[in-house]
Amino acid sequence: MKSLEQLTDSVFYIMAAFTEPRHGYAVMSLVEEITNGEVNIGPASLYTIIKKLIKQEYVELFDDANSRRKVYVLTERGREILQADIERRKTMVQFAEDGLNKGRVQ
Amino acid sequence: MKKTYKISNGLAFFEQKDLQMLREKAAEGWMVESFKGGLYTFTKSGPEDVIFSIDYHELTPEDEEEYCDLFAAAGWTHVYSHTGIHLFKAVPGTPPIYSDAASKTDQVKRTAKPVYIVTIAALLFTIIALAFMKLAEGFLNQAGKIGFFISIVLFIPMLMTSMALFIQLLKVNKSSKN
Repeated sequence: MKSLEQLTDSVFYIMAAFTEPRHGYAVMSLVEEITNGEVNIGPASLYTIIKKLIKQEYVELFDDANSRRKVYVLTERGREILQADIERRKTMVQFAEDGLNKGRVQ
Repeated sequence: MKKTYKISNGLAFFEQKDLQMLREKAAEGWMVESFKGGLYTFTKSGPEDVIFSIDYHELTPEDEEEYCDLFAAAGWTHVYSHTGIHLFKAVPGTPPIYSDAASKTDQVKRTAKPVYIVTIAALLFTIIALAFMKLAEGFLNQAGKIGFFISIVLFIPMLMTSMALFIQLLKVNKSSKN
């Protein structure tokens, strides 16, 4: 995880979850829920990744006076990075889909 | 309170072996209570079928609360923390604390960095002391001899630990490529 230029799946899921303000621990259950339990983000991975995202200024603390626990949200830079990675993933999926749509070569 | 003790196999070398040992002790009714200076302390409790995980992070008390909250939400109960080493337990089948190789690599690198620094420092000390031993006379020669023995005693275990961490890093790197 030297650079976050090309986001790993875990980083991608975590950033997607922080498109709105959330507690760190809420990310784990959310990701599990939307992937029907297929993707599980471990707490040590999550903590390491959140720290990294803050250092890179992709995520920041969200000021929430009502919450005892820390709430995070994507920064403007974080949103741009996530958008760029969505495009990269779209290209990838498009390529595979086009290939399959051509049908089997006899 | 009845207590028993066990020496660690060395976390850099045999982390899994230690965690398995903690699991066996828990099944026998000895729950690990603390881990300090390579020594585990156990207290007598009812037998428990639990698995253990260990993580390494230098945390401020405020961060530690958040960190333990995350683990608790994932089913991992905090057991003990000391000098950036954190021990957790969970029921068998709980998903692992590291779910992707990239962040596991980060963890090993973070742990390895200070070890590498001390190893290099010990090596430099050894060389300097050796130079005094060979080149200087009288008092400096004596000081060199003493310094050499002290630094070599420090250097050899540090070098072994560095190598163990380096091998661990190669292993996780390999698994992240597969």
